[in-house]
Amino acid sequence: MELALSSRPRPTYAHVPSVRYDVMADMMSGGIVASLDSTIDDVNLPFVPVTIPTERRSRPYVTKQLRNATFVIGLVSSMSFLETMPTVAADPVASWLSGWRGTVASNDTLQTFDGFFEPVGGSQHLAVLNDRIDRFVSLPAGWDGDDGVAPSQVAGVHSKAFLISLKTVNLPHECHAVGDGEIVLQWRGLDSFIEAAFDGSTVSWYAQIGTGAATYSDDVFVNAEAVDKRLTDAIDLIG
Amino acid sequence: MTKRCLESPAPIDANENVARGLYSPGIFEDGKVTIAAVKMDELLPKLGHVDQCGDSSGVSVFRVDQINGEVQAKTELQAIVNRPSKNGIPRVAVGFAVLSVSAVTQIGDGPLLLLDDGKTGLTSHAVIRAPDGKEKAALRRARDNLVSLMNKSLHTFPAAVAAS
Repeated sequence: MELALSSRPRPTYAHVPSVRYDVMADMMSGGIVASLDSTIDDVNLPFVPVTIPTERRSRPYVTKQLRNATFVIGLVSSMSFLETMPTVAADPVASWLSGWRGTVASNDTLQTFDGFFEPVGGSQHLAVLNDRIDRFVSLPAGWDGDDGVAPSQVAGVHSKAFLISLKTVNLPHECHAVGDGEIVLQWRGLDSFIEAAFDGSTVSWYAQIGTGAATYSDDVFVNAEAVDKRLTDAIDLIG
Repeated sequence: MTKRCLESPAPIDANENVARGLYSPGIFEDGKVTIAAVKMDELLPKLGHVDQCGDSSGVSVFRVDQINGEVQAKTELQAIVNRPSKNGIPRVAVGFAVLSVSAVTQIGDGPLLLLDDGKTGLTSHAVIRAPDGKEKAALRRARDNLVSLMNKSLHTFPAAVAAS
């Protein structure tokens, strides 16, 4: 029996009008003939034949050959992949998304998680920001799906102390938690960007106003009043 | 330019694309990826970068223009989603951000590096990282720009589209 796999270097997406996947299985004839044909329009593709001896036509062996051919790696926990996948002629990325068979985020799961944080909503109210920070420090371990940790209580105290030290009009436009334990405040303006991150021991900040030179520093957080004046001056400009 | 890892198919080319699998609703707000998607510790580990082909430190991506790149990207995303989580909150696949290599490496205020990191079975693996020795603070805008790129090229699975 021959297992034929097509292979060719893939062009960059910018030049790919469509991608088609065809996976065909024929187990009725006593053998297994599979082709994974990753076709770009009508281009003829060279085939890389993989010969499976009849006496070794077991499922694990065929699977191994496919893996050795570095095709469909990991998808072959069973032969169930040998069926027709959808033919999609559109955005090539959309085509491989449509072939996905795993669990995906649903409207509900995303919305539920959105609800976990009180959105800033552009209001820049201190109470809203404080509430977000309270929620950040009580995030469960692994909240970001990537073994992330919640910001520490101290990071919460430091970031809140810094917020209180700001004029109301200078409150940040965004406030996020990151899985490495930081609480991150961000300000944005036309060509301007400021970020200040609190991890419970330091304030790591970056400020660029317009086309001016960026300033940044990783400093030990002592108290809100001792934060680098270059940062607070920049916030005054963008706030 | 030479490739770094023996199993990588070729040196990274400025004209190719890489995909970052996105698998947790926790990194989304209002349907957009937030900076929670990229830990500073990924771009610049406290103890310096680890170089071990296939498992090197950095933001993990797949070279989707390379042979098997798409398949490997999806397979790895599926593997991550299937892996038990520490807190019992299931991971869910949300989609991919597809980034052009040139856009990533041209991010200012970094610079960010994109290194091939192939190993057997994951030949198209690559990592985005900051060079060792940079100050964490210096990378903050680069991280934000990287997340902006992700949002511009976000492809969500059909079930997730409605929420974005």
